[in-house]
Amino acid sequence: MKQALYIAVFWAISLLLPASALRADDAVILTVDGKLAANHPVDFTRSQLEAMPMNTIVTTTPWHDGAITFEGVPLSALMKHVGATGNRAVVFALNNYSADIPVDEFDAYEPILALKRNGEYMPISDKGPLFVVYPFDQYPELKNELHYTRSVWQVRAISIE
Amino acid sequence: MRSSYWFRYLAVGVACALTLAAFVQWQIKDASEDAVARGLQFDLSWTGTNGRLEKTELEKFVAKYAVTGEQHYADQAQLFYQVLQSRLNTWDAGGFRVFLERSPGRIERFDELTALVRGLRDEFANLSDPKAQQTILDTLELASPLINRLGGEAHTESIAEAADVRERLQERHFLDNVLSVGLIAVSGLLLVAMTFLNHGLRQAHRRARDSADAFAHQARHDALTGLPNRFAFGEALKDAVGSAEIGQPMALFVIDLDGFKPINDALGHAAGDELLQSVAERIRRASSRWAPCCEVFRLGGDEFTVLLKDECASQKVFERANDLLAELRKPHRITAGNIIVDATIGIARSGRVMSGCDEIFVDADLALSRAKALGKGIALEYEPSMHAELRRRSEIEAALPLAIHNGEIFPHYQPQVDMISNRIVGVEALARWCHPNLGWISPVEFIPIAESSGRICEVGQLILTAACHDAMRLQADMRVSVNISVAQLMRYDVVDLVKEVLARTGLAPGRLKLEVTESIFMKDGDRIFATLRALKGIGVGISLDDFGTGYSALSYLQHFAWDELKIDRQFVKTLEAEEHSHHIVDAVASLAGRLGIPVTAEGIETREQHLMLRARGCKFGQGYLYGKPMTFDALNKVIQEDLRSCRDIPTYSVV
Repeated sequence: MKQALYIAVFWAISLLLPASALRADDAVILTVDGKLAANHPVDFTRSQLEAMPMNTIVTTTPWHDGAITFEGVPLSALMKHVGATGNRAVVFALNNYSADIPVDEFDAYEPILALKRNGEYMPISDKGPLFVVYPFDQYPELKNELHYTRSVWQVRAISIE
Repeated sequence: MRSSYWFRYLAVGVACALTLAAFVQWQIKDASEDAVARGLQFDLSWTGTNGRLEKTELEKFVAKYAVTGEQHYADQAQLFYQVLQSRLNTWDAGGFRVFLERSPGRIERFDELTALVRGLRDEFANLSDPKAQQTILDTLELASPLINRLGGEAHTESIAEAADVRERLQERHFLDNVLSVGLIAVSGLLLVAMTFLNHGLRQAHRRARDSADAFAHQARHDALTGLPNRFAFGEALKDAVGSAEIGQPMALFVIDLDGFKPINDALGHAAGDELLQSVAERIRRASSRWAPCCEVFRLGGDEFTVLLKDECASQKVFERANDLLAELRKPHRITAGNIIVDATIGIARSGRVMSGCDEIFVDADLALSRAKALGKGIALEYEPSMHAELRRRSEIEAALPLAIHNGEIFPHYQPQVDMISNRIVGVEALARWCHPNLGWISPVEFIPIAESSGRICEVGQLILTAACHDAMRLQADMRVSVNISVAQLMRYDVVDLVKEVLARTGLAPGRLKLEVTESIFMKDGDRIFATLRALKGIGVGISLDDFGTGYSALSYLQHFAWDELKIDRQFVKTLEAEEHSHHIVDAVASLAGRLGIPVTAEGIETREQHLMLRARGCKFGQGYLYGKPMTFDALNKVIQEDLRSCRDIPTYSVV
């Protein structure tokens, strides 16, 4: 079911695919489905996401040198926005990678779905367009394999179960 | 103490071990935390594998597009080109970069890989071109071994790091174990040490307590007999007196052994000790038969006490004392043989006039002294009169020095007559004391007190001086006899003193006779004889008084040229009644006669005695028949009368 969905979505998007990795502001970059208030998947464009309240996390990561400033939508806000009722969020990436995150963690640690890295939008070649960023420096207990796997980049969809 | 030495070493050892353990623990903690932290850095294997996968996906989509020409494949290909680039960018930073930099070969491969992939930009811009497609696939084929190698190394490294971490943790775990075991062992050791220490302490404590107990026992018990000692007696007495004051009766026996000293001297101290032990045992046994509350004490020497309480103290007290005496009189079996000693007991009871502790003991002691004076071997209970006696004795003793100084002591004179001519030939000076308060104090009373209080020499000197002085006022042929005590004779200057008195008064030495009793020879006989000889040497006469009483020894007659022998009055007294006295007087008179010593009989009271003694050869006589002891003035009158009349037997009753 999900695969079909993705194919459909990607196919829709691919019509607008330029050589550049940057999507146009009105292209859907995130689809949220599953146990939502609405009974259908919800799409978001970049501007729609940016319309929501944004948070900033400054942290070091294993994939970067030094501390990076990430700006994005707190996942807890996103869940509220879509009226999520499940307790598990499966995050899918463009490269077929996926990770399970308990919804509780969104409230506990306030990870964000980052849009900007050091003030610039992230292309696909730089882990964009969306990157799940945990405040690793703020909560050192997050510095383990589990949370590194949950720190998904090139996010395309989130399923609430 | 032995145990404290090894404990000290142990303590030091344990302290060192613990310090070492703490230090090691601290080091390990740092190191392992470091390792673990490193391990959490980055999952090289995963990212490496992902990179390979992403490349493969790219290849797939490009190939599919090339084969089918379907647009969605082209889109996917574009996407995965971006994804692959992203992957390479990821590899070029953070933990993966560090991994790459660990080997120059890796950096080379990575740079080559990156160049190959980046180089395909133009081709992807023209993806529909089959030539571009081919180029892409060829390039990707070149890139495959590179990316595979990197992925493989990443995996290996990942494994290696995991293994390293595991090893470190194992090491730490092992060391932790060692530390734990070590600590447990040390704890065990300490526990063992503590047990020993505790044991040692308890032993020491026990020893100390035993020692203290032994000392306490020693302090309160007599070593020889095992009986409680004077100290314990003092306390027990205080207790008993306290109880007596609230109505519980008590009684005290003070026991003295008769003749213990001679036995000790004769048989030696070992025998004496054995005897004391036997005596102690007997007293103890006897008293325990009466009641368990009776306590026996040894005060020291040959003095014992028994403290009786309750019924023992109120009934049959006297019987018990006599039973005890009977018991003690039985022969004692000691190494030297069988010994018999006698004992004297002084008794005092509560319920009689008493105030305070010491009083009851003093009372019993007084009773004891009195019992001894009465003849020993008896038990006597204290009577208040004994106290009066003691008081009087003290008074006399206290009054003596003043009396000597004030001239309260002076001689009375008793005439001595020639038995044949019946004339007064001499006088004996007898000490008299007229005390302003106490009245006349008999010499029988004050002379012993003077002797025991050391004043006898002064008294003796006083009487001697007075007698010589008075003698000068008598006729030239009258002689004066003065008693001299052993104390005076023991003085080194006695001869000089006598000479000095004679010189001062001007009396001719030949007119002075010094009377000694046999008891003076108890001590140092040789020295006494030498002194007597020296006195004779200056012309003074020496008489042996009270002959036949006390420690008579005929050898005394042999050793010395006596000037006079005085037969004791007791022989004269019984002359008429008993025949033996006759014989004794006979013998003495005859013996003295053969030795050329004149005999004086004392205590002549009847005419018959006078005649009988004269018949037996007594030369001189003294007694109430001729006159009682009288003052010098009275004496003078008597002598005048005697001179005037020449009666048969002069009898003067002049006071």
